[in-house]
Amino acid sequence: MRFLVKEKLLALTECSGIELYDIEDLSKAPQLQARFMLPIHLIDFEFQYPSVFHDALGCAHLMAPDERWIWATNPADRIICVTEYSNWMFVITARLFFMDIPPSWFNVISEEDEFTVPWLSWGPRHSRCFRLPPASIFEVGGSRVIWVVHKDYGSEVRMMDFNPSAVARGIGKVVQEHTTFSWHNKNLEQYLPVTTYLPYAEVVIDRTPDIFDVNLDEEKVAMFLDVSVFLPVKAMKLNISTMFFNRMR
Amino acid sequence: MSEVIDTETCAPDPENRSLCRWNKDDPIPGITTADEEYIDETHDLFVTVDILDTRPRRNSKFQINFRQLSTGEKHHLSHGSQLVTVTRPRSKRLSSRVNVDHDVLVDVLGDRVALYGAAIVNDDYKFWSLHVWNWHEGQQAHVGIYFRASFTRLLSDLSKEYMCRRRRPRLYQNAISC
Repeated sequence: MRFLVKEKLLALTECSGIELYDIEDLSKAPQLQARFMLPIHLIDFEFQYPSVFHDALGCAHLMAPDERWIWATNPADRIICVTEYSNWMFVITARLFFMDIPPSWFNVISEEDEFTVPWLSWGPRHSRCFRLPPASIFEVGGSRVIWVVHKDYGSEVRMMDFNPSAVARGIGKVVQEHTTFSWHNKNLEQYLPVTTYLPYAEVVIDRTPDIFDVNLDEEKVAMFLDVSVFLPVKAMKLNISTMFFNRMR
Repeated sequence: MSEVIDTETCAPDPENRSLCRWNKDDPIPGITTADEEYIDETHDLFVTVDILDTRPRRNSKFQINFRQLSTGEKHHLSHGSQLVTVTRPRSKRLSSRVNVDHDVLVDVLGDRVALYGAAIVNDDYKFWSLHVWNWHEGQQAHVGIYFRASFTRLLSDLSKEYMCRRRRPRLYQNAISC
């Protein structure tokens, strides 16, 4: 259960749905708006996204004296990640939770199910599913995901920006193609193809020193480098705009 | 523009900014909490939830505490600890022998706090409710009661779709629905 903004609350349900509640009026109880179903039954899954943003109320004091924030992410351009263990990641555009949901999206089969939005109504075009490589680490900030994969020679850093403006401007490699993963659920003995196509722009930095953790906000990424087992960790601070403009490929 | 910071040699900032130093064997930077806790280090806030009444026949009560992370004292923006009750339908009287576990989730954004509280009966079914209120003012939203079967035991017998339909969205009508 996580706040999306002050007026909206998201909750993950045991039947693999994302429930959206309207909490704008505190004199009323939370109002269920919709239950967006995921395509597969997830056992242990959670939200991954930060609550603190440059445009969030009360965050101005986080700015360092020598810093000037340039970017403030439109809440609808943010992304919400749902991960299962560290194996699967669904990146979902927050725009989904701000839009007027077309009535045709809802499950009309049963009156009891009037709030349920089946996966195929919303999922493929508003999300991108990834299978995470073993021992990879990732972080979510604003409209971006940063993802570090350990290689024999060090680390590979992959940053994906799901902001429609970044995609339209073609900053980095733009990925528009569908991706399909086959999901095998042993309990239900099902093989399910999961197809998603939320577009994103991507840059990749390979052959970095070993990175063992990463933090991300709307403008900067901090990477914690594992330089040597005998030396303290080094932290590398990087402007995201530099990553995108210098590492396009 | 990248900047590499050597955490061994970096000096304290003259502007009194607090610089953290991590050693290799320290936990990963950042603070992780249990579901029943919430930490916002940027606002010196530490929220914990205590389960007050665990007797099977009684309604479940949760006490939410708002403390300063730095001192452990009551947070200056809060009005003290606040109580939330997950009420059970009268028609669902429980034997004193049943096993009742509790589940709680808490999240904070600005002056708002959200709490999900659940009483799980014999791993069979649960009562739960969702509460959102302004913790600066201490005013709590109206809540409804919601009852449903748990997914765990019945998963082998019932399809996922059937279970989802059992989660009838009739909550928050200030009435009991079973």
